[in-house]
Amino acid sequence: MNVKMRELLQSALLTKLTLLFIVSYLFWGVSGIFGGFSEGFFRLLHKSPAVISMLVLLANLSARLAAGLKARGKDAASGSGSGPGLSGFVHAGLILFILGAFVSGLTRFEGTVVAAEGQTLDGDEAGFLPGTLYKRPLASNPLSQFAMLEVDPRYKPNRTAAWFVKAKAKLAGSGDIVLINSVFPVFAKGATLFSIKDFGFAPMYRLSHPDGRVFDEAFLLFKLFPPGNEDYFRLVTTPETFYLRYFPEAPLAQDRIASGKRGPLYKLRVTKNLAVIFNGYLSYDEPADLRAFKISFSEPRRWAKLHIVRDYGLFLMAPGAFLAFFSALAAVWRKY
Amino acid sequence: MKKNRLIAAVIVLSFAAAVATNANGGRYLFFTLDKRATAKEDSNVRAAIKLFSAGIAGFYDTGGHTGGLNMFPADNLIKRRIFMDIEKLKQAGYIFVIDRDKTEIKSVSFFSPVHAVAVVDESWIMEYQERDTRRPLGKAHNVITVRYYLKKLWGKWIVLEYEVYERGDGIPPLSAGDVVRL
Repeated sequence: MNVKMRELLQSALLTKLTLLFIVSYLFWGVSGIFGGFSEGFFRLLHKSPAVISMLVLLANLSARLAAGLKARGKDAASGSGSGPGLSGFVHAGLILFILGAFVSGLTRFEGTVVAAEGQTLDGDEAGFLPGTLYKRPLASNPLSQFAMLEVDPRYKPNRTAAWFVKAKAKLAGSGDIVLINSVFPVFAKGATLFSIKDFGFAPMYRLSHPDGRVFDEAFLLFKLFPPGNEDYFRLVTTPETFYLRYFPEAPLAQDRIASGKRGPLYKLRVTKNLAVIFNGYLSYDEPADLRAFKISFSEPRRWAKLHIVRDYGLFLMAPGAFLAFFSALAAVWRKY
Repeated sequence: MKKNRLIAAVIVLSFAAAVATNANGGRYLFFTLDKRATAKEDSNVRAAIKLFSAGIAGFYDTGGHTGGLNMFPADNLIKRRIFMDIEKLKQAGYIFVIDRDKTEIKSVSFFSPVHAVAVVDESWIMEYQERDTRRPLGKAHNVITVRYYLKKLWGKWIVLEYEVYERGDGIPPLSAGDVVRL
């Protein structure tokens, strides 16, 4: 390697410019200016511009670290050593972070799954993930079987938001009960992190003939929280659309006074193409008469949306970021 | 000075890289910045909604005549629901005549160059009639607000989905991600 090339590879300017490139590239993607919503930090980190610039940064930092250690070795031999440099720790932290990002790119799984209380989900643990490059057990699908036992939201005083949601799930195989919450991700099944991203209500609809014979029923995992939020469903065999809102506490339903009903209420609106054929409040299991059939909704269960991340790179990225950040902070502290 | 230029060059380069590797490229960004393009698409969306209203009225009023079905700017599932309803009415011996009384497009929002959402206040006069004699069986005034989800496919705006609200029912907020995934 010629001298100029070596100088360039070890230059502090290259470190700064590459870091600036990575940070600004991530900023453009996360800002959402290209599509109205953020692309996601990890997805951006695994794209080619970030990967190439991280490779350059890795080479640059390694060269600088090696040069620094060599110089320090010479100083120590001559007895003029000045103790360990903080910049070396910053570089080591960044190197660790970049290596972690590469491991993450090869094996990261990130997914969400929605399950209602009492629901059991079957995942295919043996299948490898299509998005990952590494086709070995580390990249297998971590969404194996589990049963959602309980979803327990803790509401804010106004009852229109939850400050904390916890859920209890039972994992198949080991039979372990995992307590998952919406604030801190928890480890389960080795390196897999579980957290709760959302929750809602899951009423069961029941369709019956006018004479009362039930001909269809199923749970609907609906986004009915906060109260007043609306979700809808359709059946394949009928042209109706069923729009549902849920008011767990009567005072939240401002216009329910007009309906003269008390207690938890559903607001159901049924449309047939552009015509509204039913719009009213229903108590639990109270049927709405739509002439051709009746529909009612039972007391809802709750569902939780689990965010599942299995990323071995995080074990390098997190300490790397920690080391780089606090070393940089200490260096600034020492300087001023 | 040279350093500032280098910093600016790196930022521009990162922006170019972000444009090149984004699935939308710069289409969304440049579209939202280009007022002339949005104005043009706005009028195209409005025309599609008017054609949709005229089409749906035509299908119902004729008892399911399929003339103009190819021109009807709607997804196949919507067409299926309309004709399923008409067929059920036909089997019961009815025709459902709908006549647009008033349409006011309240807003058209673009979530990408090919995704738009329009909120429209509509009022319709609806009447059931006997299929054979066209004897009126009852008239109703349907005052609704409709939120249309449109997508531009093969150069044409198509209604992919719509939600019908009774006037006065609050319309839930939208998330850009949900619209773009349609």
